[in-house]
Amino acid sequence: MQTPFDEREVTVLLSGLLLAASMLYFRSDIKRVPGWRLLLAGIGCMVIGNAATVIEHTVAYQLFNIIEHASYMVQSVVLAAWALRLRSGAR
Amino acid sequence: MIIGCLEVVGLIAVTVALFVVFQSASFRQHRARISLSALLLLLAVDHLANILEQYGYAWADSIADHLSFGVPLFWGLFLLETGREYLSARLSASDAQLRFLLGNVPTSIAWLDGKGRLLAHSQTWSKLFGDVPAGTRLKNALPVPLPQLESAIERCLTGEYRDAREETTELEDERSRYFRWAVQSWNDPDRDEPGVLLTVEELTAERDAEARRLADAATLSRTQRVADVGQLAAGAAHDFNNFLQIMQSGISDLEVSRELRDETLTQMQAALDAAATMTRAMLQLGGGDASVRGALDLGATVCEIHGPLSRALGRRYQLVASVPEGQPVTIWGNATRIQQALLNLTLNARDAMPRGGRIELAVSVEEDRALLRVRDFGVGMTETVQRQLFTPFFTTKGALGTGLGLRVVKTAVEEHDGHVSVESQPGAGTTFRLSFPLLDQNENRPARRHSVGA
Repeated sequence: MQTPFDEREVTVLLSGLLLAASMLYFRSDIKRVPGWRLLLAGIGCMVIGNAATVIEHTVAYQLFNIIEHASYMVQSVVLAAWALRLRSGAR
Repeated sequence: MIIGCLEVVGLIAVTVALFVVFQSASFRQHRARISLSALLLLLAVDHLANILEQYGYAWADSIADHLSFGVPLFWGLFLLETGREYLSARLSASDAQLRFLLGNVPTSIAWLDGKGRLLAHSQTWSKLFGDVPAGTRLKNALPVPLPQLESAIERCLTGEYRDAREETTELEDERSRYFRWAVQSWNDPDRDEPGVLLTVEELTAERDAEARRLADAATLSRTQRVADVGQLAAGAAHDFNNFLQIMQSGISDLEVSRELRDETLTQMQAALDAAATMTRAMLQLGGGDASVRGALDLGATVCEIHGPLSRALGRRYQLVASVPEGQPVTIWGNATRIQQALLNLTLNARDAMPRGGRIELAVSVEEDRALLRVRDFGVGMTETVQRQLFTPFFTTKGALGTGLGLRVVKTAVEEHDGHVSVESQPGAGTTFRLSFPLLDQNENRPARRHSVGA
């Protein structure tokens, strides 16, 4: 049966969701990491980007395509912010 | 166009992050450095592939799709490593805190495993019992056997009770050592078995200091006792001198007139009796003996001593006694002690009037209290002298005085639950007021043993 979803994209989305769920489950340990909120935001952006990649093939391609790339961009910015924060000495 | 801009911004951000990770000293020892670098490289290539795709390179889209698989994987790896990094740092900090605690806590603390072997101990433990390696059995680690402690530990390990605390004394080289210890059971998470937390405090220095303090207090008490005896001896000498003056005066009278012989002899006998009573009082003070007190008519007591006192004062002095007629003023007391007080006050009054004069003794009742007043019209006293009047060894008579007469008066009055007050002005004379609680005649108060003296 032909589905509108790309199997690879769905797999990546499920992997991202699994990662986000793991991070929430181990949040008490993750909270010990300085700037953990930035990391959480990075994971969130990745999942949103993955979800937008899956959805763009069904409805509002242009919109979800922009959301996808914007999410990946924010993910990279957030990681850079975290690295800069750590360089400034926050432990 | 928008997507291309977004990807460029993402690529710049990732490049900055990569630069920071490779250049910053903060990341050199970071456990997650490799996984983070890999994740950032992956994202950089992904952004680059997407930019190329925007410029018409279709093959770049395939690369981006394949790389997207690795992003969640490297994120997970990065988070895992980062978590381990900070958990490890936290563990190291806890370990450092524990080591600091063990090194600086003033109490000797030791952890024992389920077999009674030392797992760790504080620095103070090493100072107390020596540095013992981990794994040593406690009984081999203690220089002094503490059987009660060992028994308590065994009971804690067997679960008989959870905690115990006690103080024990043990002999070491014929010297007592005192310990206060406490044991508490705990579950050793490393071994999943019960262990014991042991705290030991040596009290030997404190106990030795306490013993020294008690010994010092006993020595001080003996010294104070010797001082009291010295003071008593001086007081006795003073009072004996008073009685001797009475007898000396009596002998003088005998020489002057044989008519007064019988009366004088009676008075001399009374003085000797008083001296004997005083001797008994001294013995009571020294050895704890006592004399009997009873209902005492203050007026009769004054009348009784009036004659001997008149003789002792000599012809230049007029001793006038005023007592309520037919109305006894009864107190609960000892006649000899009251007469001792009167004798001292009267002779002081005499000394205050070297050229002779009138001395008044008056007994009255005022506001439910018996009042005995001794008044002279001598030189009087300044306020400074009055303030020190009852201080032992304070005297205005120089070598002729002992400074104990008024102290004896105050002590005698206070023994009768009374109090002494004085009114005096320089040049206008002095009045001593001795106030005692009246004895209710209906009160059947039993005679009781009463300790006389300071």
